[in-house]
Amino acid sequence: MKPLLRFACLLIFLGFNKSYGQYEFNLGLMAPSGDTKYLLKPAPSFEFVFNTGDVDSHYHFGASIGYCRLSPTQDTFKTYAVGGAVLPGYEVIHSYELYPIGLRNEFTFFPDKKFSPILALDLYFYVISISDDYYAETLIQSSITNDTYWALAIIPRIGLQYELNDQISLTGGFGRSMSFTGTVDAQSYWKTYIGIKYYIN
Amino acid sequence: MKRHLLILLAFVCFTVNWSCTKYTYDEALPSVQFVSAKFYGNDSVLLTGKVTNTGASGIENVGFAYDEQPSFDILVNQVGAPPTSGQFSVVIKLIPDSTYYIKCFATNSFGYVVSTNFKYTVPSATPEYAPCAGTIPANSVVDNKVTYAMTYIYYDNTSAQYGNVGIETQNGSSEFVNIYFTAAPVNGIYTTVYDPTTLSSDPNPYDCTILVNNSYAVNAGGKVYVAIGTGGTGTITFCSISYVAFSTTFFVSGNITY
Repeated sequence: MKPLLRFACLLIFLGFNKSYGQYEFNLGLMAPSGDTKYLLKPAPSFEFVFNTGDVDSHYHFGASIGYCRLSPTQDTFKTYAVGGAVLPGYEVIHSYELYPIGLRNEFTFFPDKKFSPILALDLYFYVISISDDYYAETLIQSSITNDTYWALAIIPRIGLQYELNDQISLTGGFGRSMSFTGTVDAQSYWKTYIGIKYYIN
Repeated sequence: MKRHLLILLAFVCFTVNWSCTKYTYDEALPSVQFVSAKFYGNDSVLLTGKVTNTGASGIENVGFAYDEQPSFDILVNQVGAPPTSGQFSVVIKLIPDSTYYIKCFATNSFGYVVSTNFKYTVPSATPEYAPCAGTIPANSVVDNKVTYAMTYIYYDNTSAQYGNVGIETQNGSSEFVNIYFTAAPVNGIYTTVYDPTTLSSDPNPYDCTILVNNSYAVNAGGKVYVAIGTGGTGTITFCSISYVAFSTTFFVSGNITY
């Protein structure tokens, strides 16, 4: 996880060295959708974001890093393998962790007003750490701990922003994370969040 | 200000609630039901199962598994059937007068489901006679169109040359016809295998072989009919089963009571 920590430090460093920009902290809910929701329950997530651009800009570009730990929907999944016959087996997911690293591209419709909708298109690189046991009779018996996979996803996102004062805004929104390549099967999540933005002067 | 915050909060709450619907376990996996087991022919059972719900993806495999014990998984005696989202059937050979526990299964990309056990006792088979049985004199064989009266008939269940049980016959001079089974023959229709040396370990109880003149095994696929009488006697009949000797194909028929 050292590269992720370095990335987080870089975001903070960027913030200190920009005349205009925003720190943003989001609390969210990652809700698996599509086939993924059979495996994993919705789970809370958090994300730290640094956006460029001043308070009156329509466009804000940024980078983010976050964390989410998802729980399986079942204690044991009845799986199978095919090897000359249908080989009954099971899978037990002990942990499933997401480390989302994002590039954010956000458009604020009315930056000079207190209340404004937001439209965004983000590109996310997910580092996924999985620990599980997998068994298929006569064929496979494996136990892995913190095996790391990755996925690249786009997140179209909409939201609302409310400006509390010159330095602080509240935001909320939701988007759909759709992975299109990676070392795991394609996954999708509904990502809902509520956050606070701090503008650097 | 309050109104805007409420809108923001309501928006987030709505999307959280909306995004949290999930597949339940039952919705994702298929459902399967064992429909019936019916005696089929004289040595087989027709099994039928049904996919009652395909689940959240297409059906990938269906099939049956059976055992003589009630506790077993689907790898035991597994018989597959073509994948379908409806009814599926297979015919399997089971031993008459035996009780089996049978279940069916279906898989999709989420996993597999198994039906409850179905307990089934295979009925007794009826005596079987070859179509030509009435045309062959009792205790005779017709080898290459010549009829031989077999005067020596011996039921060997202890030291059969092949398989585990043999009925060895001889006409008193040059004609020998021996029939070998994997176990004591019962009512039913048996199928010949070519290599008699494989018979002792053959898992199919309805396989047999016939050896002509101690040297020539009949070809595979011939039908041998067995009828067990009330007194324990057995009658074996077969019609024009081919064998090759000296690069020439001959045919042998028989009607033997032991």
